[in-house]
Amino acid sequence: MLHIELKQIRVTFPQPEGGELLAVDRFDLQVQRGEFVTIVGPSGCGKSTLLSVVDGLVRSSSGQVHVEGMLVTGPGPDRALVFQEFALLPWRTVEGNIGLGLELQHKLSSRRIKELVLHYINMVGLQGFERHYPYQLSGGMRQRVGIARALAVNPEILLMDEPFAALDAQTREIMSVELLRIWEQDKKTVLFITHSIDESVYLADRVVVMSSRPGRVKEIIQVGLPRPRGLAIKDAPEFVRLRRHIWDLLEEEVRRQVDGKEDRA
Amino acid sequence: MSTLRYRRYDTVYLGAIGIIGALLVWELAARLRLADPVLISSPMLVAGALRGWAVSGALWRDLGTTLYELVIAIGASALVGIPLGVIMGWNRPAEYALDPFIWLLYSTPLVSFWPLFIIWLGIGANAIIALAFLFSIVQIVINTMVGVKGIDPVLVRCARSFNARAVDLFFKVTLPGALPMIVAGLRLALGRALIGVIVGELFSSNAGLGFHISFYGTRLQFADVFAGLFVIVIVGVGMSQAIRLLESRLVRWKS
Repeated sequence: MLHIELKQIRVTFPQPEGGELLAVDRFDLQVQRGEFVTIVGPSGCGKSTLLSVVDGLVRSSSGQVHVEGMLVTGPGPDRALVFQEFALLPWRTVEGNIGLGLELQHKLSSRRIKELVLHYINMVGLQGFERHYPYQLSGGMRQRVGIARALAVNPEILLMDEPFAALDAQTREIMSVELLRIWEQDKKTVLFITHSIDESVYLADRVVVMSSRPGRVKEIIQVGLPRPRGLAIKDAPEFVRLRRHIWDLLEEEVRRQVDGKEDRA
Repeated sequence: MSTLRYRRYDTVYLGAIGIIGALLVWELAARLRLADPVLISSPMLVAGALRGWAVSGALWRDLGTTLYELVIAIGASALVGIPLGVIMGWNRPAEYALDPFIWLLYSTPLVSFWPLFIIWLGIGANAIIALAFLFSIVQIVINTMVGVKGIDPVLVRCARSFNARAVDLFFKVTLPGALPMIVAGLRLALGRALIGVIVGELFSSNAGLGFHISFYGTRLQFADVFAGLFVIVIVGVGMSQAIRLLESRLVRWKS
């Protein structure tokens, strides 16, 4: 069943010196309900912008996003964002941060919020850290809070903007395993931005490879690897083949970008 | 060479030794007539003056007057300054429109307004409060504005992605985020307000710690002047310590 539909998305940003920067152009994508879609692309290709458009924080210059057939005009309770920079309120404890989205929605009593927060603390494995402030947590734990906060509002769609990019390599691996474990529980629709090819294949049902700026769909790759997946799957011949293929696609783009930069310098 | 490590109580106790040493030198200088005892008084005489001041009850009246003026002035500064700072931090046009006044207040020697205050408000507490208010408000406005502007934009983006109402955005993101800067501004403003109050009392009044100093100063009773200074120092240190305490309670979340 079709869940998210992006039609001919085009995003431009006005430049300080005048003129416009074309960030995303003619972007088409259809995401099925319960599907895990990752988007990889060279840095600066507009993938984060694209996610903000789906969330409704940024308006596309033309084209439309439909969620369940409804036109997206702004943020809604059916979608929740997870940020690369975690975006935790430093003056709130783990509990307070996880409850933020629920509080801002003004739909539940504070007692009900507390119960839900407890549930999600357990889900992301932060028992015992309820009263800790963000500065007392490691990067991986902070992003667990970010994920729990997004899950707590029970969205139908999880939008993840390079959520593990600020973590070290080992923590990153562990977090992607954890994310799949959580996702397997209720299979929300996920749109996950990353620049890690490994991560994109490991997590996804489908990988969208973007071109360098302006960001367009270069190719969409079906990942047929069986679930649930352990880290060992990264050694499977099929995984290696997909990784190779995506790298070949990206290499072209990255080279073009790097050469372009050198031309200008 | 080995580095000596000092523990926390060492600083307290070495500081106390420094102060006691200075008092000793002062007392000796007066007793041995190394300087004119009439001009420099002496710690023993100051202690005596302080006791007399307290016993007569005038100390409590003067201290009460000064504290009253200080609290009203700083309270009014906070009440007016924090909202102004928030508006300036949130709204560019408002910032540009109000900026000249802030700089005017910041760079003008505000004491030059004194004759006007006396005429407008009369001699006494009102004129003094007005002066201390002007002395202290700028610090609060500037700090609040900087605090509001310094909010991490990703936090605002996050709140907006949850469809936050404007009121929530203000009370749950902007204000708590700016709070450390606001409290720091209050601490600086308090020091300036105290200067305003004391200067006002020195110039013209009939009560307060500044009045005590100018009254005995003109009569060349310097032990009483030093006693007045001593109490002012206590007030200044005590107030800024109280705000520090508030600060450490409010910003426990800072690493």
